[in-house]
Amino acid sequence: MTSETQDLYDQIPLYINGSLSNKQNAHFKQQLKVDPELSQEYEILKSLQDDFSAHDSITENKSHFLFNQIEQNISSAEKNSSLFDAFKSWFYIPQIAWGAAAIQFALLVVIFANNPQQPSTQTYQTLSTVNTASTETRINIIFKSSVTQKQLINLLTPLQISIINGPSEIGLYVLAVNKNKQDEIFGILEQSDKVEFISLKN
Amino acid sequence: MNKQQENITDENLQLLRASAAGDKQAFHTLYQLTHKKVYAYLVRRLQDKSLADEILVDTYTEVWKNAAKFRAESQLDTWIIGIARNLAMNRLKRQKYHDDIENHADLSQQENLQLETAEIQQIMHKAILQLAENHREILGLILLPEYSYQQISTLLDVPLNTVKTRVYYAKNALKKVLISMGVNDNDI
Repeated sequence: MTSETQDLYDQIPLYINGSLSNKQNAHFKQQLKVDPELSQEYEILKSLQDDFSAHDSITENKSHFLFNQIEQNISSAEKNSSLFDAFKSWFYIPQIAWGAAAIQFALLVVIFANNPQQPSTQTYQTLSTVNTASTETRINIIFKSSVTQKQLINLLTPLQISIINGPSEIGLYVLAVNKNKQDEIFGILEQSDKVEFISLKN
Repeated sequence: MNKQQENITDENLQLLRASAAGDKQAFHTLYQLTHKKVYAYLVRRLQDKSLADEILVDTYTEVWKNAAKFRAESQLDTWIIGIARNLAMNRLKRQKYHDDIENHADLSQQENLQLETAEIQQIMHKAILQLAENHREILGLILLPEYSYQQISTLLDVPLNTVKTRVYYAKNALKKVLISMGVNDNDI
C-alpha cells in the first residue's frame, strides 16, 4: 500500500466524523467511487458509527437531570470545604492559638500537681526472699501432655497451691503446698487423671 | 482546525475561565456545549449507560473543581474527555466488568447471508460488545464528531503514528469479530 493510499484509509473515520476540509472531502468522495476496497472499509466504519450514534445520544431531560446532580455535588463539596476551612481558620486566630496553648499548659500543671513523684513505700516480695521452709512442703510433679493451662489452673487454684518452679525441659514443676495440708493435697493430686508423676521433694 | 472550530474553542475556554471564577451560569453553558461528546465517548467505551451517567456527573464535578488548573496545553474537550477517561478507568479497575453479551443468533451456519440494514446494525452492535475494550475505545474516539488523530494522540499521550496503528488494529479486530459471527466478506 502506498503512503497516499494509507492516508486515504486513515481519512475514513475523519470523513465520517466530519473532520476533513472541503477539499479533502471532495477528493475522498471521488476515491470512494473508484476504490472498492476503500469503499468496503468505509462501509464497515460507517455501520459502526451508525451503531454508536444510535446508542450514545442523550435526551434533554437526562442532560438536565445529570446537571442537577452535578450541581448537588458541587454544593455539597463547597459546604464541606467551607466548614473545614472555617474550623481550620479558627486556629489561625492568635488569641485562639494562645488560648489553646495556655489550656494545655494548665492541664499539664494540674496533672503533675495531683500526682507528685514520691518514693514508693510499696514493698514486694519475691518467692526467693520468702522463707517458706517452715510452713510449706515442696512437691515434684509432671502433668500429662494433654493437660491445658486452664485445666492446670482449675486443678491447683482451689488447693491453694503455688508453682514455684517449672516447667523444666521434661515438664517438671515444683509446687509449694501448706505443710498442714500436705497429705490431703498429695492424695488429691496423686488420684488426679491429669498427673503423670508426683513425689515429695526432699 | 477551521475558523468556526477555533471560535468555538475560544468561547469554551472563556466559559471555563468564568467557571473557575465561580460563575455557575457559565459552567452550565459550558456543560451544554460539551457534554454530549463526553457522554458519547463514555457510552462507546463502557457500553453501559447508567455507568456512563455516573461518570459524566463525576467528570463535570471535577471540571468545576479544577477549572482554574486548565493550562490550555490541549484542547478543552480533550481535557474533559481525559478526566472522563481516568474516572472510567478507575471505576473499571474497582469493579469486575463483564460485557453482557446477549444470546445472538448463530449466523455462522448461514451462508451467503443477505443482510438488511437493521440486521447489520444489530450485528454491528453485538460485534462492538465483543471487541476488546482498548479497541472499542480507539474506534469510539476516532468516530467522535470532529475529533482528530492529533487530539487522540494528546489524550492518550502517545505519538500520532501510534494512534493510527491502534486504529488499524482495532479495525482489523472488528473485521475478525464480524467474520467469526458469520458475516461474509461481501457484506463486510
